[in-house]
Formats: sequence, C-alpha cells, structure tokens
Amino acid sequence: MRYQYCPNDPIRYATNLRREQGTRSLKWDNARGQDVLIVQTPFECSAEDVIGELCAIMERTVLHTDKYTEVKPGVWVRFVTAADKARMNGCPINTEASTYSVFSCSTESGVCSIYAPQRNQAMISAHCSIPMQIHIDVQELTRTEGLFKKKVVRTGYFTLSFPQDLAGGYRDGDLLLRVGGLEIPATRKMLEQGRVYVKTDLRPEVVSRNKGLELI
Amino acid sequence: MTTSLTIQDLIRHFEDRLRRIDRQDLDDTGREPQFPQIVIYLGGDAHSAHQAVSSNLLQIWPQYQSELKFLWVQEEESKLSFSELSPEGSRALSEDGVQELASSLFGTRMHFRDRSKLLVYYILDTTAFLSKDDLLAWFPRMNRVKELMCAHSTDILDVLFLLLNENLSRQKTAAQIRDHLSGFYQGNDVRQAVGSVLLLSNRRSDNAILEDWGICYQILSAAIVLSNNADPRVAASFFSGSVMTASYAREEKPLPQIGQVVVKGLIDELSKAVPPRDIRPLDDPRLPEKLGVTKQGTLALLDEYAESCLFALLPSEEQLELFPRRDSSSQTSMAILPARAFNEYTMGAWEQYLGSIVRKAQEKLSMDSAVRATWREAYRALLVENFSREELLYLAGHLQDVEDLLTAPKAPGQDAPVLSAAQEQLKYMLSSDREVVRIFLSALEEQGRAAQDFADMWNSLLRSMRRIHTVRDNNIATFYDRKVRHFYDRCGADICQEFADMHDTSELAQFLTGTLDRIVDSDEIFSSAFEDELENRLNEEALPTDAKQYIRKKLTGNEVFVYLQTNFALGEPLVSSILLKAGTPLHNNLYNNLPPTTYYYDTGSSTTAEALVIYEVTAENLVNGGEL
Amino acid sequence: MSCEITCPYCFRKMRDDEVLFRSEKVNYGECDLLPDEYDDIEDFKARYNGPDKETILSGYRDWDFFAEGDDPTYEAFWEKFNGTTEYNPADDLLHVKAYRRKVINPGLPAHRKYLKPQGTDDYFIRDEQGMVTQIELKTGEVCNRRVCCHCHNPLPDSYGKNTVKFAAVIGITGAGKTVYLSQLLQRMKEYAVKVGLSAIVSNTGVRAFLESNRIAASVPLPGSTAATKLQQPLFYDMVRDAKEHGRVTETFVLYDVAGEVFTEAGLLNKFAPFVSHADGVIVLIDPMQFSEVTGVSNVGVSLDHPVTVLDAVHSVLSPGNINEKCQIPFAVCISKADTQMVQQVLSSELRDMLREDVHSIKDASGFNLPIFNAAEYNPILQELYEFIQHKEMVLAQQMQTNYANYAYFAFTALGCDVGYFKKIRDDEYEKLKRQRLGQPAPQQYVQLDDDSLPESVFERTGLGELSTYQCPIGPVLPKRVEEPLLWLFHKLGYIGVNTPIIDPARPKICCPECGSYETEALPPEEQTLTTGWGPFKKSRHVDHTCRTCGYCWELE
Repeated sequence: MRYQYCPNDPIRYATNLRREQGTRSLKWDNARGQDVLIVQTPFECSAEDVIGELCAIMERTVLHTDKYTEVKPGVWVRFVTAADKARMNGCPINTEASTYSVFSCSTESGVCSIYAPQRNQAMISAHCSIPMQIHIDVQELTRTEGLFKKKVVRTGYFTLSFPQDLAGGYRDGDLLLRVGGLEIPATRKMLEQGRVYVKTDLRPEVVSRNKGLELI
Repeated sequence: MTTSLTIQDLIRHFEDRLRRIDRQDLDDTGREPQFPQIVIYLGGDAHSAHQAVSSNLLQIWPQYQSELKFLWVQEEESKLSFSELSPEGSRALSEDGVQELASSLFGTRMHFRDRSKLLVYYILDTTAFLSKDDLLAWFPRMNRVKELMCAHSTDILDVLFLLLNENLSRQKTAAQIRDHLSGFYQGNDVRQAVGSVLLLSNRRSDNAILEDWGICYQILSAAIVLSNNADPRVAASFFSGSVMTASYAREEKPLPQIGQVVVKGLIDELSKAVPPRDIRPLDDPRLPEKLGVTKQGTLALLDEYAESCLFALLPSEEQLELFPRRDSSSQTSMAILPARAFNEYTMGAWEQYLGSIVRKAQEKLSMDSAVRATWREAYRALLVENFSREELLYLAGHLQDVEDLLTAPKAPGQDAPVLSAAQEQLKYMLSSDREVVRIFLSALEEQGRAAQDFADMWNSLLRSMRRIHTVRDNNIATFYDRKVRHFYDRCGADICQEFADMHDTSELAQFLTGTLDRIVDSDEIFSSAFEDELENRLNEEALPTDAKQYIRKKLTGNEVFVYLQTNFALGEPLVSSILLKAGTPLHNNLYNNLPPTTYYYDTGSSTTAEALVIYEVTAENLVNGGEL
Repeated sequence: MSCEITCPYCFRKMRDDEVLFRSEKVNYGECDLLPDEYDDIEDFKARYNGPDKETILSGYRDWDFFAEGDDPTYEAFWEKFNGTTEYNPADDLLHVKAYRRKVINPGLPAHRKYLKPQGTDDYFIRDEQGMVTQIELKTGEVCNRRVCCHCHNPLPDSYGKNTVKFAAVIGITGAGKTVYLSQLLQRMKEYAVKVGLSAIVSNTGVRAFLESNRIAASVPLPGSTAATKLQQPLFYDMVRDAKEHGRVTETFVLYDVAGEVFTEAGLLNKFAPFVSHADGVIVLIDPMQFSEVTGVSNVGVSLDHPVTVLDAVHSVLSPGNINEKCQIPFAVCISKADTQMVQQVLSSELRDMLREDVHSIKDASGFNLPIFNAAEYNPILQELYEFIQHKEMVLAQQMQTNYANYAYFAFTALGCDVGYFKKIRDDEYEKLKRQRLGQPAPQQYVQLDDDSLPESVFERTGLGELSTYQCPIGPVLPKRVEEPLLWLFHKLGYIGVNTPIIDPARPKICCPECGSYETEALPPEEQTLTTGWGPFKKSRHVDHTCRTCGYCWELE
C-alpha cells in the first residue's frame, strides 16, 4: 500500500477528537462513512509534523488492523474504518500521557490518501492531548533490629514503587531520578519490576520530562 | 552558484594584458589633448558611436578618463534632453547641468594645457533621416547647445562629423543633404551652426558600401585626436571653415587572433588533466579511511569530540552506586561489573543514561552553529585533501551509500568494565546518530555542489570554444602554437596539477587569467612592437622579411580609400598624418620614405599604426552626388 | 366535539366552529361582466337601464365576493409589525398571496349563500374527532385554510386539536439567534428522535425560515433580522408513544423574538404577548457581553446587556406582580461557546463536555427513550452555574431572584470559525461549474486569502470594492444546540428524565460515608432509620441519604 499526504478536503472531514468521559475511548466527528487514521504521538507533539515521514514508514511496515502499531519510537498509528468506529463506539486509546490526532483517509487502487485536518478551532480540534496523573512512592528502606525488633535501622537504600499499569505505554526517560547530582532515566523495565532500589542516604527525587505525565 | 566564463572573456583579458604592457613604457610628450573638449552625440543613431569613440580616445589618452566629456542630446516631444555619458553610465542633465559640465572642463583640476578654447565635436548620423529637413532641424538645436556652452564668453571651435548614409534606399535623402551642404561655402544655416564639417559616407571611393559605421568611428576618433593638437597647423586645418572628408588606413598587431590561439592552447592543455569519466570511489577499499572513518567505524572527528567533551559527563565510580537496581542484596562495587551486567542490573538505566548524554550533546550541537561550522570546514578540508573533484561529485551523487558507511560503527563489546566500555559506547552512539552525521554529509554535499559548479563552468567554457571561428591566418596559428607549446614544455605539469587540485569555481577564472599572464611574461614576442612581431613571425615562416615596407604599403598604398564618393578628384590634402608610437623603427622607416609634409602623431601605442588624410570637399563635389 | 383554540398570533380564544376560512376560489383583475363602455360599477349602475341590469349586477356582486383584495383585519394586525411576514412558496405558483384571498365567515348569511350546506344548518366539514377543518363552496371548491376569527391569521392544519405549548426564543443582540434557530430547525426531527419524539412540521414557516437562513460551510451567514418585524410562528406537532395511552400529539409553537424589543417601550408592548403567553422561554446570550470573556469590566449596564433584557422579560412574564418568582421554565443559554475568548475562560472539564453531542437514552431494543439525559447535563449545569455565580454575579442573582424554574446551557451552533469570503461572479461561477462538470460543484464563495483566482472574477460593489461575506469555515459541527429545547420538552411534560436535574443553587451535600455528592433529602415519612434486631433494635432520626452508597444520616 502506498500512502500519500494530501491537503485538507472539507468533504472528507474528521475532527473534534476527544476522550469520552470516564472511558478509555476516543471519539471524533467525521463526514458520513469516512475512514480515519488515528496517530498517537508523545504528549503535545504534533502529528502533522511527522505525517509525511509516517507515510513513508507505513509503506514498509505491516500494520495491525485491530490495534495500534508503533511506526517510529513514540509514534503509534491505527486505521479505523467507519464500520469499526460504529462497532467500537469510537476507538480505544492506546496509552495515556500522549497526544492523539485524527486524519481522514481514503483508499483507492492501492493508494491510501491521508488528508490534512482542517484548521484548528478554539473548541473543535483534530488533536487531543490525554495527560495522566501518577504517584510514585519513595520510601527509605529500613530494618528492625534488637531483641524485640523494635530498633529501626537505616539500610542505606531507598525504594521507589511505580504504579502497576503505567509500563505499557511508557517511554524510557519520561521520568528521571535525581540522585547525588545525577539525572538517571527511569526505564520501562523498572516500571515492570514495580519496585526498584537506590543505594543512597539522600532521598531520591522523581521528576517528569513528559508534560502529559503529572506526578502527584 | 556558477558564474559563466567564456573563451571570449579570456581572449579579452589577454588582449587587455598585451595593451597594458604596451603602454607601460610611455613617455608623455605630445600625446595629450591640448584643449578642453566635448563630444556631443546628436540623436539616437549617433549615440551608437559612443562605445567605440570613447574607448578609442581613452586608449590614446588613458589618463584623461575623467576629463574627456561626452554629451548625448535628444529631442523628445519638442524638448531637448541631455545626458552625460561616462564609464559609470548615463546621467540625465538639465540645461544648467550642461552649463556646469562645460564650465567643469575649464576647472583647475583639469590637465588641458591650453584653456583658451573649447573644442566641440558633434556627431550626427543621417541613417534615420527621411529628408534634408531632419538635418536642418538639428542646426537650431546645435545653436542652443552652443549657447549653453557659454558661446558668448568662450572661444568655441567646433566641427560636425556627419555620418552620411548613402545606402541605395537612402540615396535621395543623402543627395538632398549633400546638395544642402554645398551651400556651406555660401554661409548657409550649416555654416551658421558649425565651424567645419567632416563628411564621412558609408559609400567609399572604391564603390564599396560599409555594413556598419565601425571604421568611420575609428576615423572620427583619429580626427579628434589629431585636431586637439598643440601644433597650430594641424588644428587649424580642421577648424578652417570647410567641408572635409578623409581617407584612412590602419595596421595593428592581430591581438584577438593571437589571444585566441594562446587561450585555446591553454584549454586544450588543461583538458588533458581532466580524468576519464568512469571513476568509482565507492569500490575503493581505502574509502572509509579517506572519509575519516576509524577502524571501529566511528568518525574520527566525532571521536575527538567525545573524548574532549562527553567523557567528562560519565559518572564517577562512586556515582555508579547511585543507579537504581533490581534488589538491595549486591555487596560488590558496581564499577567492576561488566557493562552488560551493569546495564541489566540497572534495568537498562545505564544505556539510557549514556543515551541521554549523547542526546544532550546533539541538542547542544543543534544550537551551536559555530561548532557545526568548524566541523563542516574541517571535514571539507579532509574531503578536498583526499578526493578529486570528480570523486566528490560521484560521492555526493551517492549520498545514501556514504551515509550508510558513515553511520555503521561496530557495536563495542559489553564485557569490559562499565566505565571503560562506556567510552567506546559513547563514541559508537555519537557516530550512529544520523542527525549528527548529517553535519558531515552536508559538507560532502556542499563540496559535491562545488565540484558540479566547477564542472559546469569548465564545460560552458569548452562549449564557448565552439562559437569562435578558427584563426584563418595559418602563420599566426603555427607561430603562436609553437610559443605556447614551448611554455607548456616547461611549466605544463605544474599547471595541470594546480588545475586538478582546484575545487572552487571562483579559483578557476583567477587561475586561467593568471596562467595567461604567465604565458605573456614567458616570451618577449608578446610585448614587442607590432612591426617587430610581424617581422619575427614572417621570418619564422621564411616569408618576405621587410615588415616595415609591408606596413607602409598598407598605410599609404593604392588600397587606401576615401570615405566619400566624388565625381571630381579631391585636391591636395589639408592634412596628411600617421598616428603611431614615435621613435620606433617603423616610425623611422615611414619618416624616411614618406613626403616631408606628413605629420606624425605619437599615440604611444606600438600595437597600432593609422594613416589619416583629410581633404577639403568643394561645393561642386558635394552637389554632384552622381545621381542628381 | 367542540374545542377551544388559542390563536397563535393574537392569543384570543375561539371555538373551532368560530374559525373563518380563506377562499380557494379567487377572482383576479377586472370583472368582464360589465359592458366595455362603462368605467366601473358605479358608472354602470348610473347609466345602464337595460332589462338585464339586475342580472348583471348580481353576477358582478358574486364575482366581487371572491375578488383578490386587502383584508383590513389582517392588515391591522400586521401594521404594528411593519407588514406581514407570511410567505408560502406555493402562493407564487397560484399567483395570489394567501392573505389576499377572501375570508369567508360561515356564520354570516351573506357568506353562506356561497357555501354548500353539509347538513341541516351546518356548513362545516369536520375531521374524525369532530373538529371543524373545512367548508365547501357551492362551486365545489373545498376551503381548508382556517384563519383566526379575530385577527384573520392562518391556523395550521390540525392546530387546536391538540394541546398547544408556546415557547419564545429571545436572542440578545449579537447572540446569533438566527443561526441557532436555523441549526435547530434544520435538525429538529433528528433532535426530537433523540428523546423518542417525532417532530412534524405543520406550517410553511419552518421551510421559509430555513430557505432564507441557510447555514453551511462557505455560504454567507444570514444577516441580522429586523427587530421590529414579527417572524412567523414555527409550528411543530410533537408525537410520542405514551404506552397505554397510545400515540399522543401536542402542538409546539416557537416564536423568534429579538432581544432589542425589550429595550424599547414601543416595541415591547407589541411583542409582549409572545412572551407573556409562553409556556417556556429560551434566552440566548452573547458571551462577549460577559466581562470575564472580554476582559473588560462593565461600566454600568448598557441597554442591550443581558441583565437589562432579562429584567424586561421578567416584567412581561410577571405582569403586575413583579415581586413574584416567575414559574415558567426559563433556559438561559450561552451561545458561541466555541469561540477562543469563551474557551479561555471555561474550565477544561466544561470545555470537554461541550465538545460532546447530547446523547440519547436507549431501551433494550435500541430505541431512544422519551427521556432527557440529565445525568449528562447535570455536570454541565453545575459548571455553568459556578461560572456564572463567580464571574457574572449580577446575572446569577437576577436569575435566582426572578425565576423559580431556570437552568443554564451552553452550545455552539457552528462549531467552526467564521472567515471573510468573496463571491465569484455568477457568470464566472457558471463557467467554473461547466469546466468541472462531473465533479462536486465548486464553491461560489472563496476565502479572502485565496489568491488562486484573478481578482476580476469576483463580485464587486458599486464602488469597485470587493464585496466580502462572512461565512463558516467548515465543517459546520453544531454542539448541544438541542439541549435547552429538550430540557423544555421535559419541563413541558413531553418527556421524562433519567435522574433529577440538580438545583445548582442548592448547597452540595457530601456523603460522610463515601464522599459522593449524589445525596438527597429524605421525605419526612422516611426520616426514621431502624437498625438492629430484637432487643438490639434501635431507631434514630435521619434526614439525608446517599444515592451512591445508600448511607443515611442526619445533617447537622
């Protein structure tokens, strides 16, 4: 399949992308029977900046039909036909802390035309940023000593506990650990592990480099 | 960007160079204009004479560039308009401006020796005239111009150079004009308007009809030079109140032909240094090394940067302990762990940390244009050093292959202790970064473009050779081919090498003109007087050797024609003159063989000799144009 | 069966057999019964003495009865509003304006002589329910154009048979009432279906309104309507399935009222009946009149400010008893909620909610239930209430004081930006259409920054200036325009509600057990809570319950 990025065609509009309240579903408005391409990019990164590049990448990539496909680091795409949209009542989001964009598209003779979205309006937009709030528990690791195990002793370690459901869409380096003058990127593997240890006497600080990932 | 360079440009440069040499040993006597003068072109057709007249005059009086004045008068919608013509271009003047122009000729900064008179030369071309009335219309205008020149307070000597077009289609008008000019001697409006008339027709005494006014422009230039003269006899002849005409002959050094032979020889020689087309630098096993790639596949320039700037950002052994780990059980020092183990134990944080160092470096580089420019320049120097123009052109055309080669470093081993492996890893990551490597590729692209521009310029030069005619005079071609061959035998190899090493179009023109200058300096034949050059050349070919006699014949023999057809013979010449460089053997030869009344004007130029004879044209010779 | 009808124009009542009819038979031009030599009927009467004089005169009177002409009663009504706005596209085909037809009063003997009796002393034709719907002329024409016997304005086909509810849509200057109404009427059927109703248009007013106020991308927006003109009422028959009661039809009449009429005493008197008789009011407010939106604080309150207009509306709704809270449902709507300046001042939650369409409540078989989705609306109402409470205190106070039954709404009727366009001249446009034959029709209006067409093809004003038009830059995506109307349907009893609509003015009570705000006061009979069993049985007084977790407690 060849993909080409075309100028906006008002007849084939797709816009007003939004997350349905209280669900993990994306919804949008489109022209009757219109197929669309949903593009997930890092939080507040414009899909329009990379769509030309994505067209070239998608040509040489096998795309999943029923889920998102990562076409370049941090950028995922999913084609949703009008029938899919009706069946799924929209399209599920992949992960949070990302920006989603909807592009209308049409396929003819092996060429898929992807249309530029119309100019954003103050309320109606083809883009939707979905932030995420997480809490990371940083605790000093102690042990108890003494006859009645009543004496609390420092071990020289701190533990960091990540939320369980964060790892799926996490990008390495979105969170940083500040410790001893170093800024160490937190990796997906750490999140999968759930709890990690830092050998330090000073409490490590966790900061977010992803504007869509808010630490609470 | 390619600036075009043609063989004509080079020939022109060569000619100019020879002319400059010719004038280097000038002494000043007798070659300067005596009086302030102004040349006035009347109407659009006359204006065409300016280029030739100004350049002829400045060739003889080069030091008077800013003192020789040229005015163009036109009539537009019944009003006179004036423009001063100078090397800088044309400048519109008001009537006040014309007065100021005339006044400026008498200024103290001018070098005219005698400010008692102002010489005014009008040039008028009858080509577009429909009847004599068009001529008559100019006389009141000339009077107005004269008024502006402050005629009442200035002694003006003026002469009208009338270029009479006697083509078959214009004969009627021409005859009317000749008829009217015959009234000059009765003091008619022509006489009222101007002191003298020099009538030059395009119908020569031998019945030939000139296609253009080129030769007449030379005649009137020579007449101006001759008339603005300290010698009262000569000057008086021009301003004696008569209608005149002239015969003219000119012999000169064949500079354009010599230039063509020399320049073509140079191009032919350099063409040998252009290598054959089928070069394939990608097949060269030394290509990575020549592109500055190390044995590990990293770019040497980036390795240097990593060593000087990035290694310092690696954590200390103590800081390695701060990396998050899977558990709290390990008692060993992190620093002794192999890189792979440390990365696994820190759940990939180590690799990410190194990645962040490279990312920061990349961000810094993207904002630091000075570093990027320095790298580009250093890499450009490396490319120029290691590759020919043709190779660079080829590589720039295969940029993807080069990019693949530049961004394929070998992944370093992960078994060395973490910090030492990190150094190789940083180099590896930096050289794997296509964004960073693009800086170097852009240098290659730039050099490829320069090579393409160079090739384009060279090819356009070769193409321009097709537009010039072969030098017909076999004698000139053979003689100068030999001279040039002799030069290449001595210096050809160096010149070709210099040419092969060249990468920039701006250098090419300089190199070619410089080489031509070296050729000129290599043999004194190029700077010798034209009669010597001719003699040398004829001798070489064992042809008749008396060049001076040959030239004399050319200047004064039967093949010299008058530029007006008359029914009756013209009388004795008013002035019979030769314009050439004084003191040369040719001058002596002519002096000894021509009548003593001949006047010699020292032009200071040994590349040319001209013979100009001025005749008075009587009324009957004017009236009787033959057809009326 | 006799039913009472309230005229939707003059609001006077009549029985169904008191209505008048516009004649189907119409005579135009001059009567050809008079011989040519007579100037007119008077001349004929004076000079003609032939034996057939009376026959001719009688024929003339019959002809004249049906002659097209002015109706003084009708004219008198519309004179107050600068002339009638009645327009029926079919009139052009029939070459007579409906209001110039003869009005026949079956009660008058002089008129009856032209009517065909339908029984003993009865000239009416009735429908199945027995309501008078038409009469028949002796010449065979059936006349079913009923008009009010007081003002001679037309009554739609089945008007009067069902309960009638009136609602006024009042647009405060610049609020975009015309665009709102156009979008609402365009999609009325669709919106009605969302709440299990069928909306049937029952007069030509809706069609005429939509024809002259079309909203589409790259098509000029309708201009402002003259406040002094009375627009035709918009009639709908709302049909619903009332289960055991069968199909229920009610007539719903919408009036388009400019806010300006409330700022001028002369106009207010004329238009007041359309508000005072309303069973519900929808007021549209241009958010640019909020100081919070424009960033400019109001210095005094101008004449066309919402607060001034709402005061005047209240005085119309509660005549003579200004101190009483008005009981009719009153929807205060912030229009143009999609504009940049409004979006900037709304909370992100509210912005997100306003981007959504109004959702229907479906039954198990997928049909929409006749239910207003209050669960979806309540958070919007809460946010809007808080916004107005904090930012437009005067308005909030006014609503609280004057109205017992009000709610706030926000919507966008366009959902897209508006830009300046220029029009391609008609001849050039036809050329363009011919060139693109077989492709979708090109647009006749081109956005101003488009320089692909030479300036010479664009329409110019008389002075040679390029004429510019304000057009939506599509796609046009109205959001929540139907919500106030559906709320009104609920308040008028057409539909139910899935959860009680909150009273935003009431303090929010949090459940001490689960923290939910879904709490309510208990009725007195349920205020005793008994726990335990047997000897451990204990009773205590509670007055609140949590609908989320079921906990009951006594509020301190």
